[in-house]
Amino acid sequence: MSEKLTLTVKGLKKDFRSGGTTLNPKKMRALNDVSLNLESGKALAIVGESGSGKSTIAKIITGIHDPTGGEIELNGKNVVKLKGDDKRKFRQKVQMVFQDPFASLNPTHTIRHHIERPLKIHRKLKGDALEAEVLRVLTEVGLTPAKATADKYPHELSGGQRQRVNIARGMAAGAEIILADEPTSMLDVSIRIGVLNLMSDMKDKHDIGFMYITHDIATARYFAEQTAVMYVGHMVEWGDTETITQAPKHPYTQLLISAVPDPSKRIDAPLQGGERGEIPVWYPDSVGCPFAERCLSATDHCRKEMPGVTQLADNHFTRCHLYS
Amino acid sequence: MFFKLLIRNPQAVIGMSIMAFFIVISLAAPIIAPYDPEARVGLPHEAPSSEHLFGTSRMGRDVFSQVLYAGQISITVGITAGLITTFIALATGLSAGYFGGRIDEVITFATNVILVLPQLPLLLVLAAFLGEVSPALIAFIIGVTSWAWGSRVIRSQTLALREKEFIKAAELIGEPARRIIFIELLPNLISIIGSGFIGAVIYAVMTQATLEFIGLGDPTSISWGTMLYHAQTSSAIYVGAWWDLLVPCVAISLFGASLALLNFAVDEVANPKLRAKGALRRYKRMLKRGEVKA
Amino acid sequence: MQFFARRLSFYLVAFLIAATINFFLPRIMPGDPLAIMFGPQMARMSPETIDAMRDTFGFSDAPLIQQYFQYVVNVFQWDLGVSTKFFPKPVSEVLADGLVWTLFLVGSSTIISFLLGSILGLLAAWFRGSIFDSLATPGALVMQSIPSVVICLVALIIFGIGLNWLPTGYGYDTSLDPQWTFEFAGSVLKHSILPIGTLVVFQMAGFLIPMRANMINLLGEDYITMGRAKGLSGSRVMFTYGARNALLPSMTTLAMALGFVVGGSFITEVVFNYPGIGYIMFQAILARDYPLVQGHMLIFTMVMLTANFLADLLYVVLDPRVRHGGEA
Repeated sequence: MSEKLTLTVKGLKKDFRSGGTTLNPKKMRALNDVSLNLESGKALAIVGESGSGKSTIAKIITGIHDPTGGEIELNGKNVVKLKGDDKRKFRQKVQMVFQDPFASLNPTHTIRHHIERPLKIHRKLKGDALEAEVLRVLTEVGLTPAKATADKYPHELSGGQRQRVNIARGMAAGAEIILADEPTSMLDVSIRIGVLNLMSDMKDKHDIGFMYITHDIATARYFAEQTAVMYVGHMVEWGDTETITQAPKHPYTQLLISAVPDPSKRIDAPLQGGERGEIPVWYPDSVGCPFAERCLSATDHCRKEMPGVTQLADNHFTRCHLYS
Repeated sequence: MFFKLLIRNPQAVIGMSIMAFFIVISLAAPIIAPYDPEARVGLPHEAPSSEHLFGTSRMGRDVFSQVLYAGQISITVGITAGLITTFIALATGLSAGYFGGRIDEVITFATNVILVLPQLPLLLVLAAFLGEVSPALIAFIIGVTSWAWGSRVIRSQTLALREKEFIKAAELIGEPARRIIFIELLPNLISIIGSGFIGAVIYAVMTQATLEFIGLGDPTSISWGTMLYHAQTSSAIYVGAWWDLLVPCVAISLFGASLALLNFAVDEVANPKLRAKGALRRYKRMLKRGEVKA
Repeated sequence: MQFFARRLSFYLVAFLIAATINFFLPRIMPGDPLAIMFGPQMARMSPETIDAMRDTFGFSDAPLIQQYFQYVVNVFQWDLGVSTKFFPKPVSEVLADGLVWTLFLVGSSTIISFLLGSILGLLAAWFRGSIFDSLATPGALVMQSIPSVVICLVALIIFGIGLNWLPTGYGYDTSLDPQWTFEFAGSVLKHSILPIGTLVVFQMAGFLIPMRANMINLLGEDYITMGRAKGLSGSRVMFTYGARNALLPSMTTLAMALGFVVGGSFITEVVFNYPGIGYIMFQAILARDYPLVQGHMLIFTMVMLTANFLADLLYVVLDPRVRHGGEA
């Protein structure tokens, strides 16, 4: 890898249509003012419940969705409206691994096809060199014997193996940043760690940067140096993973951490930081702190005004009126 | 794998055998047929005998020879119309489903209009204005008027596939649209296209017979439909020459039935949900052993 | 309401397209369109009638667009010209006479096939894999793939001529006067058995197959298993839990089938000389009575559109998801 890559997201906004009529559509805001940084060789975990907008970030970066506002830059160059060759180059560098390993491989093609295509498109490999590289990549992600695996169809592989194929596909393209959208959430618990270890290896050996999207804050701690906690499209706390998991400041992060099963605690121990409740929907004209409805410490102020960013430490930020 | 499953399906085997039988004897008509189908080789309306296996027509033609040669035209018209239908359905359905937007709006609108227009009367009006339509023209007008249903099915399947992650993934690695459509999408549509094609052939064979039976076809061509037409206009049933009418009837029915069986089997194999449900079978087994009560 | 407005405007456009096809057909054929339209019958018509017909079909020296406009206005006023075969009866009157018979035929056969097909489909799904299922289901499909010409002819040969049980043609005994008497009604009924019977054979599969497929899908649903687990009897689960939900798609097919079968009844009417619009169409084709042929297509279009609209209505009534907003 020649130079370090930095993917920067600034003030990202995304509105989706939710009902209404064609002329007068009702909109909901899936992402509001999201800013983050992703570097090669590092992992950033995006943690949140379903509906927190965490997958939307990856889908906007890869161009599956268009952003409503904000900027995405790769080494300082805006990538939102790339066309043609620039778009191809960007895609080579930034790849995605999808959540559902059963839907992300084409059932009518062999594994070889899935690995060959990015090699042909991005690295223009042919003949023996192509075959050798296919086998090398498959071996690299632990799918051995590579030759036999290459000839298989997706339905002959397990979920964990398929997810390895997905990672191999990203590598084959020559990706330097991989956006992994809950890559382990649909796998059996026993094989999750294998996939996480694989990603960890890729990160260290090949200097690949990962965005690790998950609802499981425990695995974030295992894998990522940086963590951002999302709630209803907002970043509520972000910074160094160790700090966030050991000394969470935002009530929502505290709730998430206390929800991680811990054998040393009684099962009826009260959850810290908040109560169970409905996750609200955010609209472009909503006001206040998105977590106010569920927060135990919420005041009238919280319901009226969105908290600003507070720097708690060198690499620790939050959006909460408690600390401003 | 698909083919293997199909071969194990008894309905598919019966369907394919009958279909193959018809295709072979029609192609071999010049060898098998004892007489020239257009020659007067006997008295009018001779009953079936060893000399004339299926009797003779009002014109004294050998019905057996006619039905063999007629198969050539009827099956060709069916397959040609089926190909035209499937091609248009595929082109429109795939484009609408994959590209979406304006293209989709226009195609969907056209499809919906054709679906609410009455098919047969539309064909009748077309044929009536065109005069005695040749088999080739029949294949053409059936083909261009009956693609809407298939197009709709292919469109909705394409829409569903398009949202699948493997298509998104292919886009992300930079596959061009043409490869996504033909290499990634199309193979996943094969069973739908196949059963759509068989359905279109059935429809075309039936419609051709109908058009020709009521006299809109070219009476000098020999097909199952014109055989019916000649038998009907010569009042074959009323004079007791049932064979004249029954032979083409049986030919059309058997051919149609063979395709229907094949289609049924394709559906069954392609849609695992329609195969006997595992849970249900297990339940029934338990029922038999008396482990649960119905 | 927006839903209906959208559907209705779509139907309006579809009807306009049918009228447009009618308008252009005689004009794109080689030769004089007027001669094509009225053909040999022109000689029998008085100059005034010919002028009136020109007027109706927009044959004039005016530009094409004006001719088209004139024709469309006439069609929307249901002025379809005069039939040359049943001269001097107007096309609309000839069609109205036939429509009563066709609707009787199609209405009764559709209801019978719906009931019969749904029940058989339900049973086939319930006894999935049984001998009954493996005979009834492919059997129904095969029946559906045999042209109605063949079914009608075979029925005619067997029951009408061979066994001589039933009359072979026409809507009623022509020696009787059409009156509201039992004798006349009985004659109508007797004459309708063969046509309705053949239509049922042809249509039934259209209800049996989807009903079976829906039901099989439903049988895997949790609430069916729940009904089972609660200890409800098989027939109760089948009818109150399964059938009601499996019926929903069938109901909308029912309305659409009505439109489709009006087209399918064509051949039945021809074979049995049944005096509906199909038979009229047949006579019109034989006599090259183009105004009547065209009027026939328009009335068929009307029937199709009405049936589709009924299907829309049913859909809204039956499916709460559509009723409470949302896209259809």
